Order: sequence, then C-alpha cells, then structure tokens
Amino acid sequence: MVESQSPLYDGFKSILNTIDPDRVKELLSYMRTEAINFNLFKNGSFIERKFPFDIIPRIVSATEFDYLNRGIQQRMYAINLFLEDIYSDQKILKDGIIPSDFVFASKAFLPEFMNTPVSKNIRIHISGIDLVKNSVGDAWVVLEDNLRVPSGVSYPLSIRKLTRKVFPEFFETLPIQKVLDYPQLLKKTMDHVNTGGINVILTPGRYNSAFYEHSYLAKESGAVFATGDDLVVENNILYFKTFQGKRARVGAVYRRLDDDALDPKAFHANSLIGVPNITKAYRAGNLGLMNSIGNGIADDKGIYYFVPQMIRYYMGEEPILQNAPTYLAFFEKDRQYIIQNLRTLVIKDVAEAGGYGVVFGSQLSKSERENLKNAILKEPRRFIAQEVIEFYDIECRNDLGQLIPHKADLRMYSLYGEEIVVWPGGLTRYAMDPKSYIVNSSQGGGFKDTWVLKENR
Amino acid sequence: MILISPQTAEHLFWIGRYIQRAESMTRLVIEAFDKIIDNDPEESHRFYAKLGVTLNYQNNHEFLRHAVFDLEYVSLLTIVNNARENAVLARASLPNRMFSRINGLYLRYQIAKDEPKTSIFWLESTLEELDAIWGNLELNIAHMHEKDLIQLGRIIEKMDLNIRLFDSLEATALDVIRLNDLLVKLGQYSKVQLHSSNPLKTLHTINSVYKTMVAVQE
Repeated sequence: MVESQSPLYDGFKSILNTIDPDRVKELLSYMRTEAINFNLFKNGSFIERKFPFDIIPRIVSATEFDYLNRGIQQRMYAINLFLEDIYSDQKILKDGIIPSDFVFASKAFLPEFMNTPVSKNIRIHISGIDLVKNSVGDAWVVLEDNLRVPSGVSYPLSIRKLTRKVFPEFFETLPIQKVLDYPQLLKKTMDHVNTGGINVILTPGRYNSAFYEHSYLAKESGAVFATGDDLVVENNILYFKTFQGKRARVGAVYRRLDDDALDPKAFHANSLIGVPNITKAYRAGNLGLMNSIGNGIADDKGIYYFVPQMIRYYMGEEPILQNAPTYLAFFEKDRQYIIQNLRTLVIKDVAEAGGYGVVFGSQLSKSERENLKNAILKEPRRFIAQEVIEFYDIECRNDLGQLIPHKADLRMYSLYGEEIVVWPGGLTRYAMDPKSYIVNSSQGGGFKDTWVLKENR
Repeated sequence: MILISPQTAEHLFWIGRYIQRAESMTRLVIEAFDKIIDNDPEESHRFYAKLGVTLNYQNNHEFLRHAVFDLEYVSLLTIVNNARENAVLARASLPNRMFSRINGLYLRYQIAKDEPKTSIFWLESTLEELDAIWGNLELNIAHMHEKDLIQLGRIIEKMDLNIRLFDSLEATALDVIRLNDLLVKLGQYSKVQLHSSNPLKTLHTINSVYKTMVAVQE
C-alpha cells in the first residue's frame, strides 16, 4: 500500500512532470563523478558500486517531524541513561525491570568497562533510528536503534547538494528544511566531548562499505581523517602523527569501527585497523570517544524489546514512539508463541546486522522451519520474533519514468552534544525488488532523500 | 602545524606522479601514433623498450588500443586507475573539484575501454581533462600543503621521465631548483643535489627524495 503523502507531494510531482528527463540523467551523472559509492563484499570480492538512488523523495510533514523529533529525543535520553546505569549501578537490573541474565548473556555487554567515566556522561553521540510507517494504524514504528556506528548520513547530504544544483525549482518552491549543516552539528558534538586536542574521524580503511562517508564527514566537518596507523597512544594520551614527524594531541575521536576492532591490546589482538591502547586513553578520561565503548548492549535486538520499559523507568513517561510487536524467545511464554506461530512471524538473529539473519517464517520450507525451531529451542537468547509489519510503500521512478511502489524505511539521525538534536532529514532506503521487505543497502537496496517540511500546508 | 598523516601525504605525492605520468604518456602515445602513420614503427618499439615492455601491433589502431588499455603496468588505463585510487584514499585532503576531475577522467576510461574502437580524438580530449586537473590545483589556495605534496610528485615524475625516456640530464637539472623550493615549503631543509653524470644514479637520487624527506622528518 502506498502511503498517502503530504499534499506537497502533488506539488513535487507537478514540478517533476515539467522537468526534462535528461536532467535526471544529469543528476545521476554528477553522482557518478562525485563517486557517491557504497562498497560491498560479494562472493569474497570487493565491489565498489554506486548507491542506487531514486529521485522521488520521502516527504515528512512538519507535524510528523515534530512527533518523530520528540519520540527520538525521548528514546535517546532513556537509552543513554540505561547505558550509564548498566555500566555503573545496574539499578534497572536490581529493580527487576530487565532480567540480569538477559543482559549478561549478551556478547555486546563489556563488564571490563564498568565504571569507566565518559566525557560529559554521553554515550550515544550519533544514533541512527530505523523506522517504518505501518499501513495498519498509519503509525510510525521503531525497528532498530543503531547506537554504535550508524552509517548512511552522507548519502542524503551529498544528494541534497546535487539536487539543489540540478533542480533548484523544488527548493525555491517547496518549504523544505535545510539539512546541509549536518557537518557543523557533528563538529559541535565532537567539540562538546573533546577533552583537549583535535577532532579525528577514524576509519577502518578503504575496503569498508562506508569509506566514502568517513572521508566525506571528515572533510566537511573539519575533523582530521585517520586510520589506525596514523594514531599512537603515549602516557594514556592519543596523538595523531603527521608526515613531518610531529604529533598533535587528539581530544575527540568519531570512530567508525566496532569495539572488537578498536584496540588490539584490549579486544581482538589480531585487529590491524585499531589503535593499540586507545582504550587506556579513554579510561583515563583523556579522550572523548564517539560512540562510547560497550554501546552494543543497547542496540542488541533483544534489549530493544525493553526500550519502552527504560523510558518508563528512567523518565517516568510513556513512550512516544512504539516498538514493533516483539517476542523474546528467552521468555518461556514468548517462546511458546514463537514456536506455534513461526509461519507468520519474522525471526531475527540478535547477533546479525545489515539485514542479515532476518527470516520470514512464511518463506521457509517445512524442514527449514523445523531447523529454525530447533535452533530457537537450543539458543533462545539468540532470537527474537516480530509480527510482520505491513509498512507503506513509496513510489520509485523506473527507467521508463513509471512510478512503481517499493517498500521503504526511514533512518533518522540524532546527535547528542549539549542537547539532543534530531536532524531534519534522513536516509530513506527502499527495497530494490518491489516485492521485497528488505531495504538494507548491504542487501542491494537503494536510497531516497527525505524532505522534512518547515510548515504544514 | 600541518595535519597530514604519512599515509595521506604519500597518496597525495602519488596523485602528482600518476597524473603527470598520464599526461606525459598520453602526449607520447599521440606522437607515436602519428609516426606510425609515416611508416616509422620502430620509434614506438624503441620507446616502449625503454619501459621494459614489448609492444606488438599490426597497425596504428592496434597500437593505440594496446598502449591505452591493454599493456600491463604502463597502459594509460592503469596509470589513470592508480591516480584515481590514490585520490579516493586522500579524498578528505583533496580539493573537491580536483577529486571530481580525477574521478571523471577515470570514468571516461572505464567507458572507453568497452568501446570496440579506440579513437585518437578521444585520447586527445583526455588531455583537456588533465589540463583541468592541474589548473584546478593551481587555482586552489585552501590546501597549500596538500598542493605542495602533489606538486612534489609531479616534478619528480617529470624528472624521472626525462631521464628514463630521453636520457636528458639537462632537462632534469632544470627542475632541481623547483624541487628544492618545494622541499623547503614542506619543511625539508637539506637540498637535493644532482652531481652525477650517471643517469641511473640520478634516477635513484630523485626517486629517493620522498622517502628521504619522510625519514629525515621522522
């Protein structure tokens, strides 16, 4: 079902219909020249591919954005409090709101970082919240909170720059919020937690799927772009090495690599992309690290189930944004329900990400369902199940200029510095196959820009 | 303080080398194409022999196809790919337009390699792209040290080709003053001196300049 868009969508379409189709080609050609790419490893090979883009934006009304803004801010405050708590007093466990066993069984919980103070008590500096709009009830639903290294923001940013150049009439005519200040917001966020020194964006390197984004954000925010080899820790202080043999103290790092790879002295000893002893600088309070170490426990797909309880527990408020109806195989009652309804549920492996480990029960053969059932019974902590959400489609323009509905989600970004700012834009991802529900870019999905309106019309 | 990492500095340096190499080799291939028309095929054989490559062709179009796309290591396609790879890696330190120009040139090569025939006019037109890349670098005032590192690569590549292809120590010596000026700008105060009349020794000296500079500063 196609979402009934804002009346401005008609305004958009009437402008689009007057536009020479060659200008769409011109836009795509600019994208290629700018190498707005998304890298993939497929069958063991590195593929640098352009990120498929569709010209038709998602339009979010001002009222709707206000609602999402409040909901995401509330969610991020609560989850940040949860992380502060879980790595210190663990009151939420002691009060029985979340089962201790459930938290301690997660590989993403890092007890070795208990009581490590973090700069300004902020742990979720950048988050990417995945939402879909349910066609049943016309309500936004949170699917995931990405609280470690959420990627993707550079794509709507880059495309907005290009679209403004190729199609200025949209931005002259329609009341679309500006988004190009994201790099300045990022800089402010980094400056806020900076403990004294330069800001650095740390990339795993060329073969990371989001290398383009790392490079883009460094350039636009004025942070220094670095790989692990460019950084060194001495006396618990992190330094950037220059080609002239000098060193500059680093005060904040926006790291774009996972905890596991961050410090070969603290995590995986064979990591070649991390910085030896960076965790010592972090523990000593000499470094603002974005996002903090150990955040994985909060975006564990199982912990997601408890976010509404966190909001009630820490903030005394009712959640503004709803979760998808979720069942934890960890709980006996839920497990029974999952086993009995495997055919109709979506099953997710909590250890997977990027659209991997997501199985639609309806698409499994009898023997595959039996295997899944046995896996759930063997390792119940590993699985959650959700009701299938019939989320809205958004129209995409094919090569012939026809408008075809595709499933689409929305990743919204928030930055937590002096305050939580929800960026008035977002990455709308659509499934490449009109029949598919999987929108992830690593699964071949494409993207659209997200236009948040300044006012309702 | 200049905040460029050793890795990025090396990528910038190699952008300069590969773009200069692409320009020099393009001009030489166009010249050789012209000579083959006048039934002087040996000229281009001798030219590639200096690069350690044997080039077999039946006519000037076949020569063009091999020189532009097919030769290992020294085809223009490989040179442009290498320039672009270094530009991707150093993108955060490059002027935006310079990156786009280099990537644009790379894309033109990617499209042209799948065409059934290689056109000399097409190849000539790539020189305009190369001119634009250099012009863009000259006009940029915001990335002074990045610019110096690219220029360093450019000069060293020119000196290298002058010796390697034309045995011209004189032409190389003319660039030494500019080379030393750049080294001073980059914080290196020991000057390069080319005393040797031995081309191989001179080649070794100029190709060691970058590594020596980094080693001294470390």
